[in-house]
Amino acid sequence: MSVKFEPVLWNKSKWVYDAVLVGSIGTFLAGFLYIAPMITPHNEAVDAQIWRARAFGTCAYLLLTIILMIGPLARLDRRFLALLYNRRHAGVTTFFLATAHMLFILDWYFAFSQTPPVEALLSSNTSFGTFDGFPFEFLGILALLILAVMALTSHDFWLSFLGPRIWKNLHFMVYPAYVLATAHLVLGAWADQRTFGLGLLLAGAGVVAALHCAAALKERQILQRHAELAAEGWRKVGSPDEIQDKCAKVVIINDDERAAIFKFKGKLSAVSNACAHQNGPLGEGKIVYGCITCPWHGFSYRLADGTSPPPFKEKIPTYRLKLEGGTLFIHEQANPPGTYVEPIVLQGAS
Amino acid sequence: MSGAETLLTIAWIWLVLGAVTALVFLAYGVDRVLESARDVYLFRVLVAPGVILIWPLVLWRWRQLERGGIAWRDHHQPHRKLAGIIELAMAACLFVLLILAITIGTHSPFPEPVKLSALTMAGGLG
Repeated sequence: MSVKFEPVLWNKSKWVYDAVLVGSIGTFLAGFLYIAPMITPHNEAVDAQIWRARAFGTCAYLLLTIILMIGPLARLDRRFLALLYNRRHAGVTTFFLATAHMLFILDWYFAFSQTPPVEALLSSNTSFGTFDGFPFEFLGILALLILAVMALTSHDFWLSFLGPRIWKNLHFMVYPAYVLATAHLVLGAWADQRTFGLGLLLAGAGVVAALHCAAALKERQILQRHAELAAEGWRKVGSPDEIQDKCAKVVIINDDERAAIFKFKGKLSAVSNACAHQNGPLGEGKIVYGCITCPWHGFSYRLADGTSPPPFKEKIPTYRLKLEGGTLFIHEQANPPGTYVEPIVLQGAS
Repeated sequence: MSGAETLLTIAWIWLVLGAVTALVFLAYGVDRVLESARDVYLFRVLVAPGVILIWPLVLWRWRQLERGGIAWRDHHQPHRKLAGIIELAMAACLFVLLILAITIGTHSPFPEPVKLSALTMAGGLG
């Protein structure tokens, strides 16, 4: 048995997300349609139909710009992850806004054409060989077609039917779609008007490009740094969040050697996983009264130096830990039993 | 037949074939290849336009699933490297377009409009 498909999956956070999305779009369109004409100089005034086409076109482009900013932002700063999880509804909305833009254009410029409006649009300008007066409308139509494919294949069914790999490859087309939409804007509206508002929209495209470069650079630097640390004997453990308080995560150092990384009061320490008594698995034990306690016979060790509290004298090896960019590393070379290692203090721990 | 007419005729044929595919696939095929689709029907209305648009991919995938699907390993290996290449290619294209926009802003590649005088208009008409 598997989970049955539903038309649209909503939960409380998605309702909030969508409410903010619809509210923002409504506010933007209202401002564009009703306030902007009032402050536009009379010599630049245009018909209401053209305002509508511009409003929906601008809104679609702006929304696509924001959508494409979310991915790299989330890779640069985890706080943006909350925006990432519901991008799908924003993407579908972009398609509808862009479609409205095209319909307003058709209804204004080609309403009285003797041929059908779409045919008139496709045949009105075919100067593909020239830069001057390039038919930028085709670029917009291609972008819209890609957005249509993406919006219409956004349901969970498609992910399940096509599989994540094909589905994701299909949705990579958002990047060419954005390039086409930007070319449509540059060779169309920008070449014609060069207003401050259009300049801001294009600046947004610059930010999208810069963010993707920054995210790619950061990932490359992280991979390089991990390779350097590995060469120095540091092994990647993962996120400290994976370790429960007063418990340990066991790390395999080699065939015979295991280390146990304990978390206690927001601090991390690593010791050998083998108890000095009968090599019991310390990592399966817990912190009791501030000491690592072996689950087999209750032998105890201090976290920082792996030494039993007085009057006992048992000692176990300790390990160095390193926390970089939220990732925990352990050095594969064990310290002699009883060596003090300053615990790693986690952010927010007192 | 003009280029635009040809294009629209091809689009029309594409959509008709897509509609036929959608009808057969959503009424018969989807239940055979996806357990999650059995006994649920409303979602089919939502996905039908997508089937109409990308019907060749649907037919190919349907055939693939009928023959036993794909290797499980492929299912769990996203194209991380491809994603990085496409994202950087997009960034490069955007930078080129922005340079073009700046060029248009300072030195327009389009010819300056010619102010018509009575003489040129008469010459043009004559």
